Amino acid sequence: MHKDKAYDSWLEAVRNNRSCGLATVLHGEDAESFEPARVFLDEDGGLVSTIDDQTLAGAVHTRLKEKLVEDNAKGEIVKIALEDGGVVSIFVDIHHPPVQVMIFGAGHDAVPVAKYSISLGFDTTVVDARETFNNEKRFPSSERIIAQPKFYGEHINITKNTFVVIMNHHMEKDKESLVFALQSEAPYVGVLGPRSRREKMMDQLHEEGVSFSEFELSRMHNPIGLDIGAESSEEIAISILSEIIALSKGHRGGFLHDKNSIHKYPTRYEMPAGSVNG
Amino acid sequence: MKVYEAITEAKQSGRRAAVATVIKVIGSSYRREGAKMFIDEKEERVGLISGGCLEADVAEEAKAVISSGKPFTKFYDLDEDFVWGLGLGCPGKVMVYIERVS
Repeated sequence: MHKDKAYDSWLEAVRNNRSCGLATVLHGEDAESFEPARVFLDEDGGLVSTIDDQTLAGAVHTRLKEKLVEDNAKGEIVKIALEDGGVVSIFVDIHHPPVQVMIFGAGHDAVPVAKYSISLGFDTTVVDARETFNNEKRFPSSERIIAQPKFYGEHINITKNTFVVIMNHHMEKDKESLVFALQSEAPYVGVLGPRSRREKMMDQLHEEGVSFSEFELSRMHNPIGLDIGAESSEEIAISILSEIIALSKGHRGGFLHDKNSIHKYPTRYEMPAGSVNG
Repeated sequence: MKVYEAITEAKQSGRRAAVATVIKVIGSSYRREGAKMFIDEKEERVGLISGGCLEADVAEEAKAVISSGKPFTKFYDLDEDFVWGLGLGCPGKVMVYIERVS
């Protein structure tokens, strides 16, 4: 039976949405034990090791630390030379919390955004005070927050993994949502609508005495979505979520045609999201 | 996330199960390193490790891992002509590590 404290720590950390890494010593054919030796490393530095060889454990710990700082979402096999001349293969697995998508506004065009977001495996939340719109029937599997803007602070938790989409179709609500979201750690705060509407909104906020720091504004995106000529609500949802996928993986969108590599392994989205390398 | 939930659930209920993890990909493949599939002793599966090409074979290997407890690494070299003939669309070289987790 599996009584592996490093593996148990990994399961618990993943369940708690933490960034963490697990290194597993891959068995040779002549392995003495079926229980793989491992090292678990949590984002706060918490370490659990079941590798007896301290030199090896130290080398694995160092590699895990590097991988977590790299914020590189790809696992890899690492070969580590032992003092006796042998080589050990270790699989380093990296977990980062899933992307969260938070949609402000429960109008008809938010329905496909939430639907596709859930299909993509994103933790999806819809924020709207109108229960006749923001309900289970329209948004199955989404978390729903029924709250007026002045109570957002009490009910809503935005993290550094939360991609915010503001689509209230209501200038005042959009302004309040924007002010709230830009004060959070969200790497992406997308505002639906044309640039002219955003400029009008920003002018009004300025007149109301609201000002944003450069950092706060660096996360704002508008107009939102990839440029695919989207017109219907469904197409617009695909466009918006494509942008979120791209940013969450450090990509810039565009066509793959003629590119040498489909996947690349940049650092994940950074703060600000707009600064990720093409 | 569902894979991790399945592992946790199996450990709690004492149901024997294995997890297959993609540990190396060479060439094209739908899933990357770290992709996981859970397989229990009733052959219930959660998660995908490829676009549907390897799952059945890996599940078969997992049965042996569940009964022996011995971790196992399998290397797949999927030739495009071969997999196309089977109606499968994901060629490439993939290493899968299968271990018992409960």
